[in-house]
Amino acid sequence: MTQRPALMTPSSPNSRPSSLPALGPDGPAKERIRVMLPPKPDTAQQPTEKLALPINLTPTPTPTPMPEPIAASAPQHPVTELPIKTPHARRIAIAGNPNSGKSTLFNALTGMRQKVGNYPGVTVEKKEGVFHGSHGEQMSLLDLPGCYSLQARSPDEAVSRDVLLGRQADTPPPDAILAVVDATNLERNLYLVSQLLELKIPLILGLSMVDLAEKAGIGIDCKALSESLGVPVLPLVAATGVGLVELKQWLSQAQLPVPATTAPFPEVLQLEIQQLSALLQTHSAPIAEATLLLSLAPQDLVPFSSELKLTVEAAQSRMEASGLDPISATVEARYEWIGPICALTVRKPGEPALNFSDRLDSVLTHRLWGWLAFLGAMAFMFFSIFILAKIPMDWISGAQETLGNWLQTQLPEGDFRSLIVDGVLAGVAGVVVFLPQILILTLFLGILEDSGYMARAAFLMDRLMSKVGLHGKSFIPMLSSFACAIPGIMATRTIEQRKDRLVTILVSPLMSCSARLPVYTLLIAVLLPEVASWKKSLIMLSMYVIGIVAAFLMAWLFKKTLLRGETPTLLMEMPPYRKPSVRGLLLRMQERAMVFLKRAGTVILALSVLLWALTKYPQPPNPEATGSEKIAYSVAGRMGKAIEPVIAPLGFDWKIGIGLIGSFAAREVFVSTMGIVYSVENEGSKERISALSDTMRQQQRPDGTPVYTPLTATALMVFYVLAMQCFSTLAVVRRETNSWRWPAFQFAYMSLLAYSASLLIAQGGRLLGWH
Amino acid sequence: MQAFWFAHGCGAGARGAGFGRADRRMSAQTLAGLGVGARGKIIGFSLTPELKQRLMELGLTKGTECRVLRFAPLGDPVEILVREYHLSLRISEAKGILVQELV
Repeated sequence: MTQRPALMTPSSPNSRPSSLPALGPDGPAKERIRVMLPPKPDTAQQPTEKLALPINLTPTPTPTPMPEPIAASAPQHPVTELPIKTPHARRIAIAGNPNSGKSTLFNALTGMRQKVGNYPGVTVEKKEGVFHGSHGEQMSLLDLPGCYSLQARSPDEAVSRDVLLGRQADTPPPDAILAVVDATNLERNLYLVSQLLELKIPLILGLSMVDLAEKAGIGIDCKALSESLGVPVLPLVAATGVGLVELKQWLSQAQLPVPATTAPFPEVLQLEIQQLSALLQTHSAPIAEATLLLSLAPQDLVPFSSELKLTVEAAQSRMEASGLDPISATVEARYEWIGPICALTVRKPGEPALNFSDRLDSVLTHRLWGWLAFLGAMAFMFFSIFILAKIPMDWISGAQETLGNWLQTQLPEGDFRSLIVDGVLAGVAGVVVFLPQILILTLFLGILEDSGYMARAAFLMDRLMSKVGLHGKSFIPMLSSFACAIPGIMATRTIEQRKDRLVTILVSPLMSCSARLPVYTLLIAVLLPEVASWKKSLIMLSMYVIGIVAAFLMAWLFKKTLLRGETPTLLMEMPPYRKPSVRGLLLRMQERAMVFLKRAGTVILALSVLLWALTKYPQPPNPEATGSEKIAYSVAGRMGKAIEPVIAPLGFDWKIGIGLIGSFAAREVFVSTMGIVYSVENEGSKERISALSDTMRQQQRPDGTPVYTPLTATALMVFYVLAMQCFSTLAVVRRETNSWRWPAFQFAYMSLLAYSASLLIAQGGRLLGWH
Repeated sequence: MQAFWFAHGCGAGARGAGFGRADRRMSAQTLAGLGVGARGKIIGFSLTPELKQRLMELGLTKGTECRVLRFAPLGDPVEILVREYHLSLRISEAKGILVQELV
């Protein structure tokens, strides 16, 4: 979008016409500015019309952006001689391999809240932030998804490639690249850098984790590295801020130098690159674009226009004729260039002794201890959710009770008091009480992710996952879905093959998310009033297991039918174990808590009020009506009654039906709905969440039998395990799959699954003589 | 891989059990055929071009040395050490990577 096609003239291949702030009055700047001024109707634009490239490759000719006036607060620069003033804040993109410490550096620079993970591909969102350079000027920072190469193999990597090459419509190519390179793994990290150098965008190399490298006995000669690569190299320790001042100083320079050095290619390849790049002059990085196109595998060429395909294929067969394999020529040339540079600049310890990570791995991926550790970690997680969270949960429900009683005495009797106490308080507080459990779950998942254990869990689970046609990487989205299906579904962007990604998206919501926790907790309390917590944990665990088993079965079914495809490949980096940062974990918990509380304060509050009104009005003409009759007369009661014939075979009555209807906005609304339904019914008597399970246990059907028999409670819980009752998830699936078809299908299959399973339990149990 | 279900404990002393010794003497074999702790030099690929390219980009170029670190408890995938980092890949892919075992 912001490419300026007409500006790139073959005579100045190194000058970037994009919007570098023209700050200095020096020579090169003037020259560049001159290029920027009149959009010459030159011939370079012609080839694009002949070479119809895929949509996002074709630059849309846009007018040269008019310079914005300098804001009053912006620092003054000597710009008087230049016709164009600072057009905008300098845009810097952070690029690097997954796990190289990009996100940590991003956090250190911007101080913005963001997820820092250790599993490849946590950074899937477009993350932007603002920071101030050494002169106090504002710069914008873009955290690109981690990628191993610009030859993208996953949707994640494609985003990075498209932004850097200027193919991304909504994000112009950056003014400078901050290439983050893991000092403990220089060689492979430099591969991406060798590609970035060809973009001809000013680049600074940030050497991350130098502290860890030092500990491992690795020394890097930054000066020599900088000379070999032709770009500045800065050692950084983002956690302690080492190197950040120098980094800002470099980024604040008036004129950022464009890298001149690139990996040398064989002559034949070099020639082809030149020829093809001449046809791509309208692109923001013709050289890099041409190099990538020429090394594309036949399969990867499919989406391109036939004209471009023919051009590339002709070039590739010329290369083959002179003994060059297009697939491997560039890769080999880059590593042949990087190898000697590393040999020259890196001082390594001899044969590395078994380090901490290796020793830990020999236990955590052991065929016996590995599984025990994995199961132990999961069991401990669910145990803490029950035992540890109980204490703060009691505080919250205690506070709610006190507040409810106080309001009861302070407010005059009437509809308003009923609204506040039975609607707002019962609804919102009934949900907020589950915050501690959600925080503990988030903490556990955060520790697993940031420590690097997630990759080991994927390593352990891969064989099982591949049995149903998924791979270890699907395990991460599915585990994240225990917290919430939405981040889980977004984490599928690291999965390369589209069909595998779709299968993972379809089954992820079957994993019990934290919104189901309140429902399970309530129903388990109904089921087992006075039993030791470990039994409750066991039931809870079995609900999770049902979800997992269902997810695996459905994945297997989808892979066999709808989304048939080969078993995907797995290439997964196993990052060294790292200590999760307390700050990162706290930020993550805070983020989760904010989302949850915001929902409680908005959606759930609104729904609580709505449900209260629906259960309260219209009131029966007979003022002597009992609570139950009042509810039955209300709108909600009528809705519940309307769906009762459908849910009756599951053992659910119309009051549960009201809860089910409410749950379609969000699952935890079930708790508040039941709270409202029963408290409106018992209006006048004080109602609180801790007693809700008692109230529910006392509920009777017209024939005098209890509503919540163990069988009904179990059927209801299983219904919640399997049913798709979250509109936000459906909206995210719509966004990720780009059509309503998949969310509609997901909704249909999950509803059907939930209904059948509950029916099976209710009717099967009855046949077996249970109640 | 089934060989790794039994025998050998964990840690530095772990040796590749199973797999006929004669098999491993052969000069050219696949990465999947190496035992735990064995080192090999990559000499070629029999994989799809896209997969071959990605493996090379991850540092598994011809002539690169790699070492088998461990197999997952269920026998698949395998974790290797290449260019100073750990990579795990499936046996089915490892079978497409031709190596020369280094003694």
